[in-house]
Amino acid sequence: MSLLQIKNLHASVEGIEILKGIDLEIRPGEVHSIMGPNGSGKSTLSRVIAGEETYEITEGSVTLGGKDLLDMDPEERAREGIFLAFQYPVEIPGVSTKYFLRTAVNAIRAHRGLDELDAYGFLKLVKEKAAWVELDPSLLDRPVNDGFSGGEKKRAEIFQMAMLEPTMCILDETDSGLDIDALRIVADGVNQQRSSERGFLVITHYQRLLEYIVPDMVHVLLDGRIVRSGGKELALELEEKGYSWIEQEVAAGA
Amino acid sequence: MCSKTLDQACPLCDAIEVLAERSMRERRMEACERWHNIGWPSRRSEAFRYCNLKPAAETAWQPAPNASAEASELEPLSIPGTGARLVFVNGRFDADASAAIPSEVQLLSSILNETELDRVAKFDDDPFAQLSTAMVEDGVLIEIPDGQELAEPIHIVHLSKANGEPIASTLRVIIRLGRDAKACVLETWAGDCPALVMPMTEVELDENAHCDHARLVEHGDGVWHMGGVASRQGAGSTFESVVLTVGGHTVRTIAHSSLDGEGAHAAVRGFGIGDEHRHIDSRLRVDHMSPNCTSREIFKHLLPDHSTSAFTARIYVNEGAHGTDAVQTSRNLLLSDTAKAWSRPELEIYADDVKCTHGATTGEIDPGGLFYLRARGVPEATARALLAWAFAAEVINEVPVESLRTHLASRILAQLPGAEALDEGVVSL
Repeated sequence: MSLLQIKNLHASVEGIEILKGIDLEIRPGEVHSIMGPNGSGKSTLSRVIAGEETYEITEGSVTLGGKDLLDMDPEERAREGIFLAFQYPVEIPGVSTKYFLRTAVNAIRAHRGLDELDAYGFLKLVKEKAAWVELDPSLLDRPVNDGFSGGEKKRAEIFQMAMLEPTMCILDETDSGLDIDALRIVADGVNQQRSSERGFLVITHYQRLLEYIVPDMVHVLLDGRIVRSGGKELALELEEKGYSWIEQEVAAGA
Repeated sequence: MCSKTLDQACPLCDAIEVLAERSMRERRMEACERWHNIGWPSRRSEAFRYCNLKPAAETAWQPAPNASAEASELEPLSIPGTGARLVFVNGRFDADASAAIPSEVQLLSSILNETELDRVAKFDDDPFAQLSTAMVEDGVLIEIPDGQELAEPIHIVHLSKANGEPIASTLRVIIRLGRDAKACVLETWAGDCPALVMPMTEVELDENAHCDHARLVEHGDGVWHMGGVASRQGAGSTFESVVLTVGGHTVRTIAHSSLDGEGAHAAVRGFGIGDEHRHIDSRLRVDHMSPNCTSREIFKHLLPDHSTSAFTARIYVNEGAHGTDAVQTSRNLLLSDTAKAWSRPELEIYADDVKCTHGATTGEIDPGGLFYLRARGVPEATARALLAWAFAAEVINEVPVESLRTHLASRILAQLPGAEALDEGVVSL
């Protein structure tokens, strides 16, 4: 039984087709990685799954646990279990991080038929999960991502993921802008959340992150299509030979 | 109102003549004459380019009757953490509704002849400033001697109460702080009847004095609020002011801040929420007269429906006022296709080595922020309200007096479009 199922997905923005027929199946407990050069459509795929409205879906389907995601608002998708760790988390001055998170956590809990967390229960959870990614809890007294460093923003994303306990986690270039120590902390945070029920889609440009978050499958995205899929060794091959190698092979095969 | 032709009576002029028998004869007649000469400005007038006065000009404004405030009217206006509350109804002191008058405060009604009005700025070209001076009956003079501090904020409440007819009234607040003196004065303007109100506040700060001032405009929809705030500051002094607009039909504020002494600092802030056809108009001027003064102007408006805002602000830097540091910001968040905002920053600089910056933005709710919140499971309505709140919070969080900050936040939350999706926890930043 698949967790996330993408079939023949086409998406465009302002009439330009970015995704040109994506097929992807992720089962519970699996970690898949999508690699690809800049402009191949990696971020678009993550945002289309999460429900950003700037993209027009022209063909295909995306389901989560059998439910049609494309028919849902972004907040409904989040409640169903989708989580997108943003490549560029948005700074929202004036909105308290704790207030925002408590609203989000309780919206998701209500959807799952759980009671709202009270202030004590919420803070206890915050403390526990912040420790997972070595996030300074005082950051959470600040407005959402406001004045956070690049590394703090990425850690805060993984922290939010831990708070919301999604079933399908999408990490959009979570490694970009991180030094090796921060990368390890973020990866540890992700690994702690791996479970037999949860799926991961790790989008990255570089193989480095995959040394820490070891994928079951690696897919190469090129010009809006998955052109190659394989095991984790595919990432190493890409690292060694570069994307031009695949580009040439695809061109030769076409 | 007053077209003052020979065959037409003007109720306001008649009232001013009666007042002139009792006090300020020359000053009243002079102001009355100026007011007549200016008349009701049309939108061709530069100063009222965005402010449509036509409906007010066609209204037969009457002098306001004597009235008193009910406890039930005052209760919702109270600001926690403030000291003496002084209540004025239709421009006159309501002793029964007020606290005991603190020793630093004198009622203007008994000292109008000895008190020089408009000493800080004359606003000679503004008809409402002139009418305000011509019609003034009462108000307060707050004087704090050198080195003294007002123990608790003074809260001045002005209510408009009519018995059917549209009424005009004014109130004067004069704040004079000696060297190193400190005071916090808050004004609430309320009342839900057709009214023209002209609040005028004058602030004089001696060296190193510190004054916090807030004006909360909480009128009903039928009120034309044409106010002014004038301040003049000595060396090293600080003036922190904020105007919050959550009510009224048309709310206009002219603010003139003169930084006379070296190293003075003025912060002039405004936050307004539109509603229906409300127009919020702010016309500011900051004069940097001496070296090393700093000024901060930030005005933000949240505009739903057909509401509009206009921000016209001039920074004047005098010859020799080097080291001037002035920042001017105007931001508008449009919540509908029919809301409109105008921003006009003006700089007039006659000194070298100055830093003057201005920024103006008008836009809709940031789609990136909205998607981010929704992608975490926050419902769209809540996400929109959160972002609108965030827009307000930037101004409110700058207000230095904590009790005032909390109060402003609760007032904004009560009026914020979509705020029913939020709870008070949003305020705790």
